[in-house]
Amino acid sequence: MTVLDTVLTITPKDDKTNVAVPFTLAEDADRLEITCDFSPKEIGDEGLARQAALANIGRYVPRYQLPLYKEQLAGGLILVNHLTLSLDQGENYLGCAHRHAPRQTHLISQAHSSPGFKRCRPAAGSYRAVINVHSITSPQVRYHLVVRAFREGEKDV
Amino acid sequence: MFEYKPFEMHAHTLHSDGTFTADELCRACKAWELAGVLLTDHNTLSAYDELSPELERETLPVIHGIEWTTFYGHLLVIGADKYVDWRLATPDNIDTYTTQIQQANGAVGIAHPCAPGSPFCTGCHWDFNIKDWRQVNYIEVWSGPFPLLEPYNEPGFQWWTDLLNKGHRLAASSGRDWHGPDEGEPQHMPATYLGLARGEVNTLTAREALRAGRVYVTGGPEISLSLTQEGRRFGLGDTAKAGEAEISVTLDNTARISQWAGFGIKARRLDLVQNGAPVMSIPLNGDKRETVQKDISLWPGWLRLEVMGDYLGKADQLLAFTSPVYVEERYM
Repeated sequence: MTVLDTVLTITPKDDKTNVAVPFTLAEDADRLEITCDFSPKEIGDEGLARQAALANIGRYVPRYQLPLYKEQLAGGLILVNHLTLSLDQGENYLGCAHRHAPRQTHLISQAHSSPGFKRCRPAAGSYRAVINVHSITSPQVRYHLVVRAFREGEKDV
Repeated sequence: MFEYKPFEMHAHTLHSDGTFTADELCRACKAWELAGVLLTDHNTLSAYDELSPELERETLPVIHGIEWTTFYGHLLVIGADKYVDWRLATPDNIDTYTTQIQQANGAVGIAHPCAPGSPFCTGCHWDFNIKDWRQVNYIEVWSGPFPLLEPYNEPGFQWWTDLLNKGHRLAASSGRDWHGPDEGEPQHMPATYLGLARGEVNTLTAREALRAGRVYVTGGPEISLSLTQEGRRFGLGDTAKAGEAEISVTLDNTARISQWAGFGIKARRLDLVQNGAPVMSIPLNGDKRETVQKDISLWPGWLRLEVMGDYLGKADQLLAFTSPVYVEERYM
């Protein structure tokens, strides 16, 4: 059964925030399947990437090292939007998939959970998917989040 | 009473953005002749489900940790009894959470503080405003393999020194921030040595070593340092009194040598640094095992040892350094 199917628009205003997406499981399940898919991942506009890089590097680098870093930046630069997904079951933190792929599918069950998440039975109750917006450099990101619940034998709840 | 042993202090698996399985990480660390590895996946503890007593017996003990990968800094949390939510930290409330971590019996370290942050690597640069430094135990001043070649380690080391000069008590570590099996050229991987109660390697003894400041970092020889003052011995993290003392340093140029002999490392001298300034330089003769003893005047503040020498064809490079011994005023 599809528990949640939503599309969010994440913009630079959401940079360095956690966007919570609550959902409820009406009945106990044996497995949750969470798919997240966002784009763009890479900042295709080279001018935008360069502008963002040069506007910020001076914040991090001592003045005497600036030429070194600027030389590195001139050699090619790929900036990315970096968003991860963490998950709470009620008040319990189940973990986080801190990985870089823009499309990921995660399973939660008692016997096996995807890397990053605790093994647990998806009991009926309230949950929170949390999109951790580490970095947004493009004007916006389209984020598609789908949660499905299954019973033993792949039967939908 | 305390035995120093080598650790990797910052490593990831495929439970976050690494490519190691926990099994592969343990085997890789054993091959580097380490005594333990601190597993610090980003924002998750799920890799511990992969560990087993059999694996740790066969390879090496895994110290329980997590890398709090926030938007404003990365925090290494070691041995906490319960999870503290990393998502709530903002630049001005970080003391609340470091206090909660300490209350949960966790040790707190700041990872790669001067690495470039957003938009290159959000949170990799330390942007939190700490008011209560008592809740922080150490700073990872060397990050990555070949740490002397990484430009952001130099300001990180200086930041640590500046904080010590302000009176804060902070140990220092290295961490490879290891994400996957090595490919290609051999990597130089310094080790962080922790002074462990009874020499036992486990999460409790590692955490207590970090909290007490029994920590040194080396890209080459092993170090043993002690101060003797009025019949009492002091080690790293201890507090001596201002005044005269004798310092004893032993360098072992044979320990784990297969891990660093290929990088042109040769210790040439010891520098004793008090409150950020070198106060004594002691030339070394290059013996396999070398002990020096000197009288030294201690001033209120702190004292650390730096081992200088050759590295990758360059002279006068920092090969190793200790966390401080602290020195307090002597009141009449």
